[in-house]
Amino acid sequence: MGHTITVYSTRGGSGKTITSMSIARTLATRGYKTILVDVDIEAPSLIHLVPPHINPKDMKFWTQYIDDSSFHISDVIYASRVENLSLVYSNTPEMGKHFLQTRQRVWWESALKRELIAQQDLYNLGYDFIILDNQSGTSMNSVNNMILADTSVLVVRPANYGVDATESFIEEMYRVLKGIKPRNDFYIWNQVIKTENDDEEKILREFLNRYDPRIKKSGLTLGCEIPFDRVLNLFLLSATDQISFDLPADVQKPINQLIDKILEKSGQI
Amino acid sequence: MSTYSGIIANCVLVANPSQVGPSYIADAVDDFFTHDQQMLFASRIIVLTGMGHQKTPEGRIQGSVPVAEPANYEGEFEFLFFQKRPNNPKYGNLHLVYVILFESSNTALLRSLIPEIEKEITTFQISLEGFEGGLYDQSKRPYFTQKMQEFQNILNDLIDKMPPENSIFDIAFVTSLHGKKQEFAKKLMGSPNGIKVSQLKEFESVLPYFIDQRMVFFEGEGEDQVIRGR
Repeated sequence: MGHTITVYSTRGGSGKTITSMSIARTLATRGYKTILVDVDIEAPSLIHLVPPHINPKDMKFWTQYIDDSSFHISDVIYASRVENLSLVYSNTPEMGKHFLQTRQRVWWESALKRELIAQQDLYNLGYDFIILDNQSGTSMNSVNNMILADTSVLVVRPANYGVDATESFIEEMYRVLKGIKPRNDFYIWNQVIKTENDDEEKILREFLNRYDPRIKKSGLTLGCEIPFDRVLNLFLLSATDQISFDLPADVQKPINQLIDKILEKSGQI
Repeated sequence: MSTYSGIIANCVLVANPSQVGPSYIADAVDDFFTHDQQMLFASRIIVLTGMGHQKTPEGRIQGSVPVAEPANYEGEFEFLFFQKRPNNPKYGNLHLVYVILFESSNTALLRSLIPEIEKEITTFQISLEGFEGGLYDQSKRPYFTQKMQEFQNILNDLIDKMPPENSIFDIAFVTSLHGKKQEFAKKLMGSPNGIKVSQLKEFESVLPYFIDQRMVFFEGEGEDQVIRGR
């Protein structure tokens, strides 16, 4: 049986997609058959970070899969340059926004059913891990994608405004999701600034120590701390296939820690 | 094989063979009525439908609004009846009445299905062997029982196709439920392949609610039977 990891955040720009890509790539290089699905139909970014090898006009997208029951999930799967790693793209934001703005409750119920079918079909196709790059915030879409998760990874940037919003958000989110299926919930500090002296380190640690218990009270476990990495951020300015390049060592190491924890808790080690 | 929806309590066939009068021909569910109750029920249907009018058009369905039937059974049942006069003059004044018993909480649902039910009865094939000479041949009862079970399956399929008002896949609705109901709904939502019926013991008390609301359906038979959300 496979395992689904949903990566999400309370707001955009926290590094959700890069984290999703890093988790997916690392699992694939460890030999797990992995698929990364861009389910962020509001702001799909996988198509920009990992440009497909064919013209998007000739492609089929996740958005089409959930809207049209004549599609099978295999119709929207594309190979990546990384062995064991496949990709599912979402279409341009216009289509996703159209769904988000116009679709009624019944459509989202149907979308959840389509996602549950996709999940089973992907496991039947032999995928060990499904990584869902979720939409940020609360919407029918983001909650649907959380429902599928065996493991969730909440990406948080250490800044007061972001963490305060996260704290109030996750309490409600986990209350709603509790009991649907057994799930392991992690959070990661992302883009943690590199301190240059003891005073700066003290400020950072005081901040993290203040918020850690407030996030953990919703049942989340700290997965890792990923430092802000200049090379990685510069790299994001390019327009190449960014999933096939090695992560900087100071980013890869905490990602490995996170994955070890996920594997251990899911009993996959 | 139809999935069991649980909304239709029983389907009954009543007739008025001219030599024997009101007759309880057969039903889909064993031991639903006692023998005396069957006789009483058949007579009551005859009165309600005003059977015996030679002028009833042949082959045409005469329906009715739901009628409460609290006296004959413990549950709060109502029924719909549809009478049909065979398309064959050799049976004279014979009328067949299809009676559908259901829990009164589903009145609106059944009422909305009346046109569909009429269509089904119009095309439903049933042999009238056994009604010759204004009589009813009791040995034909197993045949009519089987036909009523077939008819009930058709109705269950009709109901299965109707979208439920609320869905197990609507998280906002599910979280508005309380206690065991919410627990069960969430468990179903997270079980896309369904839950084995044998594992439902702790939810037995809330299951009727979900069946009534048509938010669940059953698949498979015996030990492999599972319940799934819709």
